[in-house]
Amino acid sequence: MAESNNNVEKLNLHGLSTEDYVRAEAMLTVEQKAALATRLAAGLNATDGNPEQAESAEAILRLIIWNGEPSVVETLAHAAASNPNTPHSVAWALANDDEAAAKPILTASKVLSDEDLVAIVEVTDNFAKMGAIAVRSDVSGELSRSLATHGDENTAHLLLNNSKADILDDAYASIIDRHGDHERIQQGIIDRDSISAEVAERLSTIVGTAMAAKLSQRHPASNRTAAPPPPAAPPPPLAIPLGNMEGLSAEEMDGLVARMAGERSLTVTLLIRKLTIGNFQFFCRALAVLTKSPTYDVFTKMLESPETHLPDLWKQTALAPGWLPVARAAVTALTSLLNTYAKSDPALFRRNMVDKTSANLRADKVDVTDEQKKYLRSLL
Amino acid sequence: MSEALIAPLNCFVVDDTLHDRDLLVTTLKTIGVKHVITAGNGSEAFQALAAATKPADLVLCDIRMPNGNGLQLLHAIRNGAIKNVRMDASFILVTAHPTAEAVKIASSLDAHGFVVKPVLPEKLSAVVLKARRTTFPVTPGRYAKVSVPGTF
Repeated sequence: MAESNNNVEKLNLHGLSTEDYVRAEAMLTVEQKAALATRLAAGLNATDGNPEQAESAEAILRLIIWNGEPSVVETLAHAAASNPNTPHSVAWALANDDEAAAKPILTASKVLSDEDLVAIVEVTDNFAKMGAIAVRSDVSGELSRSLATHGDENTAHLLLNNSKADILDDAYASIIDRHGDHERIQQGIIDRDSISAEVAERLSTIVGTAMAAKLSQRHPASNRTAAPPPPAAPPPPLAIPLGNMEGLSAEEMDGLVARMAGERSLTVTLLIRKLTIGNFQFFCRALAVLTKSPTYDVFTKMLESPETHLPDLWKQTALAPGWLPVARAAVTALTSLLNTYAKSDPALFRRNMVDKTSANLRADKVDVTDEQKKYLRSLL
Repeated sequence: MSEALIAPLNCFVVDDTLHDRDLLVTTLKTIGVKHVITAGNGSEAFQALAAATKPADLVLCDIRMPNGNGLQLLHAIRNGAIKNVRMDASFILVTAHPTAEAVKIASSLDAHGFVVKPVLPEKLSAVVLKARRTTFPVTPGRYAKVSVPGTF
């Protein structure tokens, strides 16, 4: 092979015409063709000032792509990918060629325009090609949108892990809608340097408690990039369907909590009971009403660090301080069990919640009153 | 495997030389193609393609021909000018004279293949299979500005 390549190195590429190449082609081995393709691709840098020679080299490379063995075309693709002087027609043909040849070009070639890449993404059904585009050192917002719309879960994963990719909100929305149930997609979004409040909100509607806590920690509401809402506007609607919503929508639950607050029936035992049936939504909304805090803030605090924030919130309510340890134990229990809610029988979930809450109270060495013990037993 | 992909193709062969045309048809049949329609130049092909009851899956066309050369036919297809033919139809050019100019225009029009005569069965089989695997994003207006001379 080394000898074959040496023979090719002796070939005078200067002035080599397409006809010359076609005549020689039949006599060249695959290795020689690959070596020739590499030399021609590299030589594109040296054809400055000689358009005829450049045109001829381009035409030969194009013939190689049409007729060369796959390994020859792949070798050419690797040589052309990093060369800024690769003619557009060569890069374009390689990008639309078989996967092995296309991938290096799609990832590294600076010759292809955004328009080219978007067009390829919209037509190809090859997810490996989309993945190769997703890891480029520059991915525009338009290209990200196209990848998010047409790519598979792996494409989305690669795009999210590309710190150079400009991902617009509608692309995030598309990724969340199409692949949001995959944990690595959720993690990928959370790991981005910056996401808007809208994206965080959308993601928060589908993630579990642990991921929600990570989201809240990495992208606290104050650091998110969206423009703040006008002062008169209502806070963004919260729809974090964590656990048991008891068949109510977020709006209906807000209405119920407001009505019960008006009737002064948001009692401490009701709040504990809601926690034990997995209704974290009700608990947070009730705390928000009782502390006169924005619901969103309460959710954020409770997801971020219930140990820190629950005592502060509790102090702002008229709820009996003696029940705070019980509420804290129940929230801790719920945090560890909430992910199992969807898979559990409601009665079993409630029993597990009461058991876990009682265990947490014992672990914290809390003096539980008889009344509290009796109430917890009544929930079984 | 390759025969299963090739056999059902509806192919159009366009060449002004009867001998070359027959040779292309025979070679296509050798590699397993069952349906072949022929035309003697670009203009004839234009009409035959537009009138075909079954759309062409693959066009195999000589470049140098009187009354409409191969690149003009490809240009018409890519610009959606022929009824019943998809703009992204697989199109393979065949020539005995692979000039840089012809290669450049064929490339600009996203030809799926460019074969130099003589077209042997192994070569044709590989080129047809590659053409069928390759999907160029053919969009309206992309090829409108490509200029094709009437003669080569």
